[in-house]
Amino acid sequence: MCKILITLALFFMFVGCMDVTKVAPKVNTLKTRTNIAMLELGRDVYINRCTKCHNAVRITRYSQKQWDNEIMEEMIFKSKLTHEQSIAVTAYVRAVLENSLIEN
Amino acid sequence: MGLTSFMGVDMIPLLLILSLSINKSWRPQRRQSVFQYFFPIFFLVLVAIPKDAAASSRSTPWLYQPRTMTKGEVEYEQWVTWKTNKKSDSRFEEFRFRHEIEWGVTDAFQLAFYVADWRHKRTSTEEHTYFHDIAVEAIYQLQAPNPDQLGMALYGEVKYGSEFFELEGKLLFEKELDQINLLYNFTIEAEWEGQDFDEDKGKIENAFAITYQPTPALTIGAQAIWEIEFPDWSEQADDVVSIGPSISYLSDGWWISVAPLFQVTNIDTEPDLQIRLLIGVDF
Repeated sequence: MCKILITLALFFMFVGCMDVTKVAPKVNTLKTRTNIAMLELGRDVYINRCTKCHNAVRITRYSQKQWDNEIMEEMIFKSKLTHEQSIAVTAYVRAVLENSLIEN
Repeated sequence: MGLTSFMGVDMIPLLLILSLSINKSWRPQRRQSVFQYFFPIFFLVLVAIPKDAAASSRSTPWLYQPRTMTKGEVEYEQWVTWKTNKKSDSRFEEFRFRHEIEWGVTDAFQLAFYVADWRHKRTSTEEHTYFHDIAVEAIYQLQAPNPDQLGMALYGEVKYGSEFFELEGKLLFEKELDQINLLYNFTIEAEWEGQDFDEDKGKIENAFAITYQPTPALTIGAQAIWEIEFPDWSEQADDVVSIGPSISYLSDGWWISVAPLFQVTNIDTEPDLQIRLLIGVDF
């Protein structure tokens, strides 16, 4: 029993150290200062609509080219997003990628 | 591309031929009652699905997730559970089938109808196929699982069958940690059986799972289920603990999830092996 508890404690410590904020960074942590409302909507769509079917993917796992050519169009179609939601989520993903380029 | 086409080839005729073949000749005469209607109905559903729809998958067939369907989304789920290897009865074998239709009433509330739960059971004394129950299930999402927060949902289910009535409640939790998910279901169940519904029992279940999504389409994981039964709601029966791996695949408009469960306790009257397969198709 003691071993199980220690294992669980270690596991939750490991989990607690994972930085999940980088999966979909909050808008106020990005360098962008324009279209904040649209970016907020884009993040909301990203973390709440995409997760209906799968986990929110860490945005920086894929390049801008991959998002534009392979992912975004197909996912917007499958998720049946409105025009406004589509523009917002695309803008949010671009803002996150641009932000990561500036930081690196 | 939907399930009914593969590499640009229309699979409908092949699926129908396959279903009829399994139905007519591949199965022993005795089993025909189980598969007589199953495959044709299942493939008719596949034929009816539209292409390029989203699908709300399950990452493990033994646990529920606090993820509800999008408003207006409708999904058909086919369940098959095989139970075998009972120490108290070497001939024991049971197939459980469920035909379920799920409907997203709002983005946070979904209803499901078990059109029919039916079973084929073989024991040392008998072998028969029978209708078991129909049911209604509701899931209300309190908080969506996403990187910001813990996902939580309430689950309720009412089952009714011949000399059978059941109420079930669950608390569903899920924490999404990038590609890893932690799931926990707490279940409490009350069951009444018999001609006068006078045989009652309760059950409490704790189920845990950890899953890993290497890509959005593929999920692998492991789960542990700890069941405690209370016959007549009085004394506690033996605990049963089962563990096993799971794998799920999500595609265009359909998904599949399969997981075996191995009993790690030593209860002779419970099956040592259970395998559950779920296939979901979106309309």
